[in-house]
Amino acid sequence: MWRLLLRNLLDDPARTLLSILGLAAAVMLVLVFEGFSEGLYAQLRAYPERVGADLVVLRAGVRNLAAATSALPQSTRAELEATPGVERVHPLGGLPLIYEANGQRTPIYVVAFEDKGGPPVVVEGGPPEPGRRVVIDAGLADKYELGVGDEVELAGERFVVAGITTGAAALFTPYVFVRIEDLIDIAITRAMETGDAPANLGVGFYLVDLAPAAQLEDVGASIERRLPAVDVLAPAEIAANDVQMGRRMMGGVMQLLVVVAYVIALLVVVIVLSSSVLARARELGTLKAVGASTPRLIVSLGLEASLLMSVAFVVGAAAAAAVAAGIEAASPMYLVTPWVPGALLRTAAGALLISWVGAAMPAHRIGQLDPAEVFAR
Amino acid sequence: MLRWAIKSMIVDRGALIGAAAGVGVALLLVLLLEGVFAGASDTIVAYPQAANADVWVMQKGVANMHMASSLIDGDLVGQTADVPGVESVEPILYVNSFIETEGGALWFAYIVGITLAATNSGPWEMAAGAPVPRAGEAVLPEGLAKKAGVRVGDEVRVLGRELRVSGLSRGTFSMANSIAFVAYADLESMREASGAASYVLVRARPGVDAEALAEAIRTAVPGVNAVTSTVFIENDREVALQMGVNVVRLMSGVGGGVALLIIAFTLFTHAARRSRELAIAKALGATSRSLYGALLVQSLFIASAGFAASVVLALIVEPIIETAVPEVAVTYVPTTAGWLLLVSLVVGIVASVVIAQRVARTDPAAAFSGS
Repeated sequence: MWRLLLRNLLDDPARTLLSILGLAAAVMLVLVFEGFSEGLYAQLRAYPERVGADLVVLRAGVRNLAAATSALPQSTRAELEATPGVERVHPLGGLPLIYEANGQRTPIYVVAFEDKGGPPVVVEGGPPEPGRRVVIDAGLADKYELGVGDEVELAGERFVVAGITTGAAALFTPYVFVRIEDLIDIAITRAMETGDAPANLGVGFYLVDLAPAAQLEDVGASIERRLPAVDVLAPAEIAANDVQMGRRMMGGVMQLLVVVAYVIALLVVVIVLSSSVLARARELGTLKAVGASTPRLIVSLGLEASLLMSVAFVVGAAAAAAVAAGIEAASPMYLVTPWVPGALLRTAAGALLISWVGAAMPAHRIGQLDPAEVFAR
Repeated sequence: MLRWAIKSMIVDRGALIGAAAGVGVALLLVLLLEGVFAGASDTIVAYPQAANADVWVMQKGVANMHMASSLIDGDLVGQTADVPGVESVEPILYVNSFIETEGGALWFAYIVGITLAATNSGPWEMAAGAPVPRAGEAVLPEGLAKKAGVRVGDEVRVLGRELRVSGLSRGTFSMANSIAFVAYADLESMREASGAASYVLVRARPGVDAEALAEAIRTAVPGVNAVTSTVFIENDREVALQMGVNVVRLMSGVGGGVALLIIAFTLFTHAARRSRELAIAKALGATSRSLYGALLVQSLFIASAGFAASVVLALIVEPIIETAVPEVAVTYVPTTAGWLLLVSLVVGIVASVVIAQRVARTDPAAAFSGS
C-alpha cells in the first residue's frame, strides 16, 4: 500500500506540491493563531515571574499585576519591615496611562521601582537612575521612534529615555520603568500645589525578600494578620492569575479564531482529497475491480492525507515562524510564539485528525465507483 | 454550449454542490472573521456611545476612558455646571479593575460608579434587576454573570469589597472592557477619592453647539480637559483597538487570505475538471467563444451560489456564536459581503478564462486519446 501511495504522490508532482502548499497554509494559519494566544500568555506571566521576590504584597482584593489598580498606605512599608521573617521590602508602583505623541496614542503601564521589579533586560542604554530617567519597552520606542537621550512626557512630567528594554509588555501594553523616587516626588509636588495631603505616594505593591530560614506560608499569613488591608501572594500565583485573566479576556475570541482556522484546514483537506479521488477515479475503480474494498481504499486515502499533512506540517510550521517574525517586526508589542511544544503538539494532533476526517468525506464517492464503468471508459 | 454548461451542472450535481459548498464555507469564514473584528470594534466603545452626553469632561492630559486614569476635584464638577450653555452634569467615578466571583475567578472590567440620580451614565438595557445600584450593590454584565454562574442576589468582590449583585445589564460584556456599575459612594471610598470625579457627562442646552461648549468648559474650568462625545468615542476606539482588537484584525487578515486562496483553488479545480469534455466539444466544432461562455456560466453560478449559501450560513451561525462565546459580538458588514461577491466573481472569471485558454490550445487528437 505504501509503494502505491508514494507512486500516486510522485505521479503528479505538481498536484502533490499544490496540495502540500494548501495544507501548509492551513497549518500555518492554525499555528499563527495558536502562537498569538501563547505569546499573549507568555507576556502576561513574564513580568511577575521575573520580579525576583519571595512574596508580593497587594491591596486586599487585588490578585494581579497586569492591568491592576492597587494603592497601599505609606505606613505599610514600616509594618512589613517589622514582620518577623521579612528581610527586605521593595516598593513598586503601577500606573496605567495613555502615552500621546506625534498625533498617536498608546496605552502604557508605568512601573515605578526602587531596586527590584525594574526592566528585565536593558538592550540599549542603562537602567533608569533617579532624576526623571525612564526605560521604555522596545515596542514603544519603535512605534514613536524614540532612542536613548530622547525626551518623553508621562503624566504631564518630562522624562529622559535612559534605556530600552525588551520583553516588558503585557496585554498589548508596553511597560515603562521609572524610579519610585520620581513618582513620590511628583505626588508630593502635586499635593503641595493642590494643598491636599497625598493618600499614598503611588506605591501599589511591595516586593518582599524573606530571611534565610523563614517559611513563605508563615510570613505571608503573618503579614495578612498584621495588615488586614493587604493580600500576600507568591510571584508564581500572580503570574497564574495574570494568565487566567488573559484567558478570560481573550480566550473566547482566540479559541473561536483557532476553530475557524481548523475549519479552513479541514476544508483544504476535503478539497484536496476530493479532487484527488475525482482525478484518480479510474485507478481507484481498477483497484476495486481487483479486490480492494471501499474501507481499504479509504484507509489508503487517509494514509495519503496523513503523509501529505506530515510534509505540510513541517512547511506550515516554518511558514508560521516566518509570519510570526514578520508580525513581531511590524508590530513589536505582539509576541507570536507558534513554536511552543503545547501548540505544536495540539496542532499536530488536530492536523492528523482532520486528515482522517477529510479522508472519510469522499468515502461516498469511492463507494459509488463501479469497476465495470471504469473499464468501459 | 450554454445548454451543455447547464446540463453538465445538473448531471454532475455532486461536484457542483461540493464546489459551491467549498466557496460558501470559505466566504462564510471571511464574513465571520470580519464580523468578529467589526463586532469587537463596536463593543469596545459601547459605554461612551450609550452614555447620554454631549461633552465629556476629565482630568487635563486625559482624552479617553480605556486604560486611562482621570481624577478631578469635586469643585470642578460644580464649576463645569456653571458654564453657560450647560444643561446638566452627571459625574462618574471609574477604574479598571477586577470582579472576583465565586471560586476566585477574576474578570477584568470597567468599574463605573454612578450616583443614585444617574439618568445618563448608567446601564442602558437591563436583563434583570434595577439599573442603578445602591450602596453595597453592583450591576454586572449579563454575559459575564452567565459565564461566572452569578445570579441576582449573589455576592461578588470588587476592589476588596463584597457587593451584592442587584441587576444584570445587556450590551455591556465584551472581551476587552466589560462594564460593571457600582454606587458612586462605594467607589469613592474604595478609591479613597472622596468628593472627586473621574469624568463628568455634560448635556448641552438645546441649540448649543457641543464643540463650542467643550471649548467654553476648557477655558472656564482650570485643570480639566473637555471634548465632544464624538471625539471622546474616537479617542477611546483608537486606544482600545490597540488592546487586543487589532490582534483580531491581524488574525482576520491572515485567515481571510487563506480562505480566498481556497475559493480560487475550488473554482480552478472545478473548471479544470471540465477541460476534457470541453476539449472534445472543441474537436467536434465548438468555437472558442462558446467554450469561454460555457465555463464562465458555470464558474459564475458556483461563485454566486456559494455567496448566497455563505450569507444564509452567516445568519444561522451568528446567534450560535454569540450564545457559545458571549464576549464575542459578530457584526456583519454589508460592504465586506459586497466585496466578497465581487472577488468571487472575478476569481470565477479568471479561472474560466485560464482553463478555457488551455482548452482552446488543446490538440483535438489529444482530447480523444484522453491525455
